[in-house]
Amino acid sequence: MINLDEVRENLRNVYDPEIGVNVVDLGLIYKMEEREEGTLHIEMTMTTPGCPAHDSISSNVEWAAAQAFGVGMVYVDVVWDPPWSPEMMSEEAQEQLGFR
Amino acid sequence: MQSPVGVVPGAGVTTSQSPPFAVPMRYMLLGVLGFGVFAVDFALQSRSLAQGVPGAANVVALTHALTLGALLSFVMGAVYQLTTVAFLVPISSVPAARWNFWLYLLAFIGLFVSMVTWWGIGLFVFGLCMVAAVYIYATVLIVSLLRTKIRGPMFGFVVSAHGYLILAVTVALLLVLADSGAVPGLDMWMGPLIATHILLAMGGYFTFLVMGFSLKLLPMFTLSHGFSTGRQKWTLTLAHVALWVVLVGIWTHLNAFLWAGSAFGVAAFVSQIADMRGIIQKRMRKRVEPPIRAVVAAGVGGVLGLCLFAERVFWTGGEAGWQGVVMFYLLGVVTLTVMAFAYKIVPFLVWSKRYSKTPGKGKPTLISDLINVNQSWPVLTAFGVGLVALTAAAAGRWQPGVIGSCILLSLAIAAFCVQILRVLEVTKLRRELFEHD
Repeated sequence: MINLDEVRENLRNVYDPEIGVNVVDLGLIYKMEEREEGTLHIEMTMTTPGCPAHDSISSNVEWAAAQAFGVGMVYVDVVWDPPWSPEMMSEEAQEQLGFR
Repeated sequence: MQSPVGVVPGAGVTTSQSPPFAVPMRYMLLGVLGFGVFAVDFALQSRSLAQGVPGAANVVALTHALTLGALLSFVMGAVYQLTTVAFLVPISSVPAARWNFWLYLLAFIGLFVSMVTWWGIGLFVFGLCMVAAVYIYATVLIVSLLRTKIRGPMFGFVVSAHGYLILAVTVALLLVLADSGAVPGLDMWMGPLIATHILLAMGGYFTFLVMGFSLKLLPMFTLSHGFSTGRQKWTLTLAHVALWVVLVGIWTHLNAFLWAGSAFGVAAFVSQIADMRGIIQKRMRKRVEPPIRAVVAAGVGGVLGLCLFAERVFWTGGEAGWQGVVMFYLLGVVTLTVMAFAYKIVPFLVWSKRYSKTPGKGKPTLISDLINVNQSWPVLTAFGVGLVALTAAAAGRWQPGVIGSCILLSLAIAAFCVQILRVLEVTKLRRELFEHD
């Protein structure tokens, strides 16, 4: 059984290098599910299509998630629907980026 | 996109489309060093510039230190990188892009020395090398772009830019032949050939390229979504019409075409500024950073530059007058845009190479740790003030003003070089550029 809270905590160490906020607080992680024992599916997005840090961020998400206890396999889907918007950010991130 | 975990810790970014780090970075480093050489030479030549003799050997060499040594070199590297991001295609021939750098470097050094000394054989030999290097670059890029499925105005701008670049260097070859007397009768077309070369390089290649990539980079760096793109195709059309109408004016000597061409050019820039405004209004990053403001200012510079061009058609300022127009456009539109985007592109490339490794505990190195982009504000502001002062002093034929403005511009460009070189950390870069890639 994967501890999704631990995965989420690990993902807080993955940052968007340009914005300087981690992917969890940015609201880029849409869904995390353990569909089979030890197999984690993550659905995430990017702040903008064609983001040059796309490969870096998604591979770092894979790696960080794989460090959690019980994770044998990680699948990362990068999706564009729904598109990311600033409302998806945490309150702290919104404050940091001047939305509050 | 779905991918299983398979990340090698410490491997850094492995993008499927991007060329190896050393390929774009060698060109960009040469470009930054070229800016440095230009800054020093610009200060040293300020007295010559004040005299307004653009055909003098030292002024021709100075101009090409900027266009070939700084701008084209930096832009080639940036384009090799950005094409893969903007059009989602790999470079058609990475070995050609890699090895062409050395041909370009040799050609630039040889051509610059030949221009300073006005050495005919050197101009011919190194001019041919430069033409070959630019043909190779433009061919690699056009072949890469023709493979993309992403079409639209940005594609049109970038492909057109490289078409105009091929034409510009072909005309440069004719200029060398005309100067050497190898082709009888060609020297009588020297004036229109020089004007055509400048127009195709500056108004064709550089303008189309910065306009096109701005449509990608501005939304990317401001996190803009949902802006209108309907006007972009008209901007592209207006820019083409402007260039060809001015070209007709150059060869027919009819001022009406020059005025009409500048009017179309102004319309193209106004349309581009409206697009940039729309992008910025729809941004998701609250703060508009100084480099983004500078790119918009460069667009306004385009309008002013073309108004200056139209005014010079009236005015009998001779070569000195045209020197002022070319200098304003080259510095205020092309150079300002390239410098501004460099503050965003170079740190990202360095971060990707050195700090994109898989995360550990704690906050990793971010792009903001490599450069405080607010530091670009005094540099870009000094550059803008220097340029306005230079244009005003040159128009008023006030030599001390020209010299002082040139020195201010030189200091701004030198400060830009220092800031970018600090991001690059040359000691690390030396190893990275020569490791097997």
